[in-house]
Amino acid sequence: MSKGRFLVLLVAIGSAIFFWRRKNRSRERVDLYYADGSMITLAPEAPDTVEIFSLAREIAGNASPS
Amino acid sequence: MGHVDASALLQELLEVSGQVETATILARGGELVASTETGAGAAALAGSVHRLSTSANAATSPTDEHLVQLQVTLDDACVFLAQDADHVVGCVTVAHPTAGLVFYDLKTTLRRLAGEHDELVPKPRAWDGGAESGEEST
Repeated sequence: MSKGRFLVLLVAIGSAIFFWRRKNRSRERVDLYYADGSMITLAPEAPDTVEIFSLAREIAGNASPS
Repeated sequence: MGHVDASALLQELLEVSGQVETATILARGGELVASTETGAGAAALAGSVHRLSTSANAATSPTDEHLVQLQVTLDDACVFLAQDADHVVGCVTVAHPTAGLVFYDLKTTLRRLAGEHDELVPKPRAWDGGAESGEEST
C-alpha cells in the first residue's frame, strides 16, 4: 500500500471514530431559566446538579407513559 | 373567576402536547393539586417534583433572579418544570422534545391555573366571508 493511500485510510478511520464518539456521548444537562430571561446550562459534573439529576432520573423512572 | 379544574388542564396538556408523557401540578408548598398518575405513583411523583423544584431554586443564579423554568435532559427522557408564585407544573417527556413548545404548554397551564382564559391551542375562527377588517363577525 502506498504511503498516500495509508494516510487517507488513517484519516477516514480517525474521522469515523471521532463522529461515532461525538454521536454517542451523553448529552445530559440541565438548563435553568430565570425571570429576567437569563439561562444557564449546567453539566452533570457541576456541583449544583448532582441532586437535580438524581431527582430527574427518579421522576423519569417513576413516570408511566400515558 | 370560575373554578379551574386542574385535572382537566393536565388532560388537555397531554392531548395538546404529544411529547408529554406524565405531568403533575403542585402548590408551591408541595401539596399535590393534580396528576396524570394515580394513587401512590401520584404522591411519589409529586414528592420528587417538589424536591426537584426546591433543589433547583437553591442552585446559584448568576443574576440573583428567581427560577421560572428548567429542563433536565437525560439520555432517554426529559424532565420539565415551570413555576409561578402559586404553582409548580412538572412533566416528563420523550427524549429530544421540542423544548419551546413544552415550555409554552406548561406556562399556559400555569396561566390558566391563575385564572387566565387563553387556550392551549387557539380555536379556529369562523371565516367571516371576507368582511372588512375590524368588523365583528357573529
